[in-house]
Amino acid sequence: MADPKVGGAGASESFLVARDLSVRFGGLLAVDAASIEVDRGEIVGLIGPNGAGKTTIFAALWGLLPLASGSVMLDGHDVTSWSPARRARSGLARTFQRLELFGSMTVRENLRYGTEARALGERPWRLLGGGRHQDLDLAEEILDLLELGPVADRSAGELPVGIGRLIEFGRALASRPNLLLLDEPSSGLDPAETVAFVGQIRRAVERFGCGVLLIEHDMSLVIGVCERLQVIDFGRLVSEGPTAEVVVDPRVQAAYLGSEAVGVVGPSG
Amino acid sequence: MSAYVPFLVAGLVTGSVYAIAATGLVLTYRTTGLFNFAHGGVSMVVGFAFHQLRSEWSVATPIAFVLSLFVVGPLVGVVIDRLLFRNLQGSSQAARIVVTIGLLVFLSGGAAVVFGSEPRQVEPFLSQATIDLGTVNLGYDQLTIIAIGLVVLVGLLVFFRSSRLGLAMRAVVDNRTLVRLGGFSAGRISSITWALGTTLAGLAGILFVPLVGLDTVTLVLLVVKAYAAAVFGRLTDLRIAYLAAILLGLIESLSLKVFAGYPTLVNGIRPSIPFLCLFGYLAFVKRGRLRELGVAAPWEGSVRSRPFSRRVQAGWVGVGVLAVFALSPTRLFVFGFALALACIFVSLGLLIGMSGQINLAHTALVGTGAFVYIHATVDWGVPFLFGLLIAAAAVIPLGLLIAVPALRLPSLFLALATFGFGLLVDGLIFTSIPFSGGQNGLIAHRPSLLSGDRAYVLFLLVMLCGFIGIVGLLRRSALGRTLVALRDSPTATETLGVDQLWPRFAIFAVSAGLGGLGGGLYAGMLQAASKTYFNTFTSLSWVAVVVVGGVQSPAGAVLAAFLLAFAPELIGNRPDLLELVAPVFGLGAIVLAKRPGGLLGLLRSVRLGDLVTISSPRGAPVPASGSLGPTTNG
Ligand SMILES: Nc1ncnc2c1ncn2[C@@H]1O[C@H](COP(=O)(O)OP(=O)(O)OP(=O)(O)O)[C@@H](O)[C@H]1O
Ligand SMILES: [Mg+2]
Repeated sequence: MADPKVGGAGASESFLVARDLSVRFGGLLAVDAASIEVDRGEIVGLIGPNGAGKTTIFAALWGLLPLASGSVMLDGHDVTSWSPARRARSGLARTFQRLELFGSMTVRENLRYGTEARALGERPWRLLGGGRHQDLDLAEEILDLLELGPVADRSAGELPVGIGRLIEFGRALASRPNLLLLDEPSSGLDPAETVAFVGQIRRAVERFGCGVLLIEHDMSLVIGVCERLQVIDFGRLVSEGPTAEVVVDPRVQAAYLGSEAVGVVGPSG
Repeated sequence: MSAYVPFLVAGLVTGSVYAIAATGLVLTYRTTGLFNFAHGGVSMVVGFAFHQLRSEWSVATPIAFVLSLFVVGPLVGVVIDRLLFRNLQGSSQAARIVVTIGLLVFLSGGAAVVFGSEPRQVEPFLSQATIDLGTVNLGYDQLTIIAIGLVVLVGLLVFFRSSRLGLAMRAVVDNRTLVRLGGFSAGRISSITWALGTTLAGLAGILFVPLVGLDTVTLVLLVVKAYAAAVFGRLTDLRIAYLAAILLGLIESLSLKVFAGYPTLVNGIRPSIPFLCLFGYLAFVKRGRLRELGVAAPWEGSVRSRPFSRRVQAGWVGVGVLAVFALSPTRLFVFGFALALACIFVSLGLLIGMSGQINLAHTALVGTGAFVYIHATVDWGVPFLFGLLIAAAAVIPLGLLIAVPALRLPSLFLALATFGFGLLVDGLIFTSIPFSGGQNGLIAHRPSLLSGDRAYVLFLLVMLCGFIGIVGLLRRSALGRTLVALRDSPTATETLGVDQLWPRFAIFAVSAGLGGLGGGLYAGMLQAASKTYFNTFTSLSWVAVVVVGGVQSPAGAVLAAFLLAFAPELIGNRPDLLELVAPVFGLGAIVLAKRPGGLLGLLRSVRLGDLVTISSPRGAPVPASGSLGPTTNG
């Protein structure tokens, strides 16, 4: 099965390996043969100008959109034909650029549901049970970690976007993922919150040992947390490598500086 | 071959009328994002207005035509735009569906009040002259209708493609500011769109009346067939909707000729073909192919309400028991009717409240339960309780069948699929005389122990408590939480690891099972069941009534059932006012659609202190419950 040129017998596979993903919207090739690899415990940035196709790549990794080509492997299994829920059960979790909260639940209930969802998905008859599969302690721990305690009993739907992003992040952590996909988690946060958020990501990764694939426009955040970057423009991977090398890559400068994101590329703050 | 030509032409004629209705529907949906379930109701009202003017008030035909089509039609549209559509900006799909269903209930009920519910025949108004083509005769009226259909389609296509207003209308759902740049206000565009859409609905109504006579139900039902055509065009493509409508007309008409030798087939299946197509398409369409336009927010407000305390619950049960022994025999019967209805409404409210999905085929489930219960207890001699269980078990597969489209369709299309399913059951299953007893219905038995009203009503009270208990358990279960999660964000739920399949199947199965059980209890209470209790339009009013009561908790459903059952008493048993009940509930659903708490929620939110301010001399506006004031205070 393994392609000798790519994997190699000796190289152990990363947790997520996506090869040659393409997604087509009518005439537009929104993602064009992009390949992505992220391992457990690794924080990788996925950057690129507006409309480059980053969010679409997430959707493709999840099977939320039909693929024009490509394959997705999770933990050595080919999951290309799996449902999104099944992929989640094998250790994937995510947040959304446009918030997808459980708005009529409280913040605490959002997190608690995150802790039980996988168990419910694995054994559907558990749906008929009560709350035995909720991990109440984990939910409280995440509330503390993200400093959501003061709003824990408020309806998630009525809180500001910045807090909504934290709730989504916490809910994703609550499912104990191996790999967390974050889509612009800092948009809607003010600079102070962003700084705090960098710390929270680091602590979460330490505590849960999960990998992170991070879509982000705020370059200070990206440089602050990401070990490795993958740069997308017009749906194609234009550059990848260790953060320090990629940010000085002329192709990245071209892709980025040509766009409206000029302000955030420079050393901000 | 020439033997087929008249059928071909007749098919083109009905197909063209369907097409006119369908284009109106597509036009408004794709411009405003609101699917108008009351489209058929508008056709009916305009059709009635035309023939009322012409036949009853002897207005000259052209004037009657112009008045009804170009005054009444657009007026209805502008009213919908101003009073309903603009209040629904950014609101949930559930609220949108409930509002237009409420409107349909209001219009159908209102038409019965204004025009009477007796079907009438009317004089044709188009020329009856024919063109002799040798072996076949073509009517001028037929050619006129076909031509009108084509003119409407081509006119709309050209309008959308080349006029500035048309281009602006194409953009309005997606981008309101863009339109403003184009020099049109979004408000003006939506008014014009609604006026145009209802005018087309009206045109279809006017053209249908000479073909089928003046009958509120038939007319609405015919236009509902156009919904199928519109769905084939994904509610957005005028050309496909037109072609699908023509095709439906042709299939209906030609099957009359082709299957002429099989009267059961022709009478039984033919009228249901469009509904079969509607449900079949929606059950098998690829996931993601049908998208809702406009904002799809989750249902406004929290789905859950403060639970009642134990003491309050016990108090109400006590009141119920007391009522069983204190009420006069006639009132006791109404009370029992209310309890049976409450069981049914709890099973419906459970689905709507917990999943935010609207099932317009609940009568089909409940009716099946009632008939199966009767067959089990009367024909097969099964003991009473087993009969009830069999009724519940028999209905569960139907519930699962409805859940199939629920898995892949957004809630608007699910509602349409259930609508098609309900009409299909009406047309195919409930018409079977061995199953339903036809027009006369069937006699239902009670067990000897519960044969008296008092005993049976007491039993119903126990059952209702059981229903409410089950709902309480479900709400606290992982299923309850999962349904709330799915309602708020299906994508988030799936990406946490829960497939939609099992929770959806589970809630539809429970709702259907309880509905079937409720059907058995209902038949036992009335000691009869007939298909007239369970037609799909009744289902629509059930939805309206349950939403008025409130879907946040089973108590809302119970309140709804009591309001409906005691409505005649509340208006002083005046037969002349009886027909007002349905339109009032329709109106109530429109007003309360954005409040899943319903009347119950409002009642509970009104504290004594507020009551004082409400009746204060400054006359602070009474909350929305004011529209149903007489029913709540009386
Ligand atoms: N459902 C869709 N249908 C059609 N085109 C789409 C759809 N979703 C995205 N696109 C297009 O695909 C391209 C990539 O979009 P995507 O949202 O993935 O960009 P992005 O990199 O996430 O941008 P941003 O930084 O603004 O979030 C864009 O040109 C967008 O307009
Ligand atoms: Mg994006």
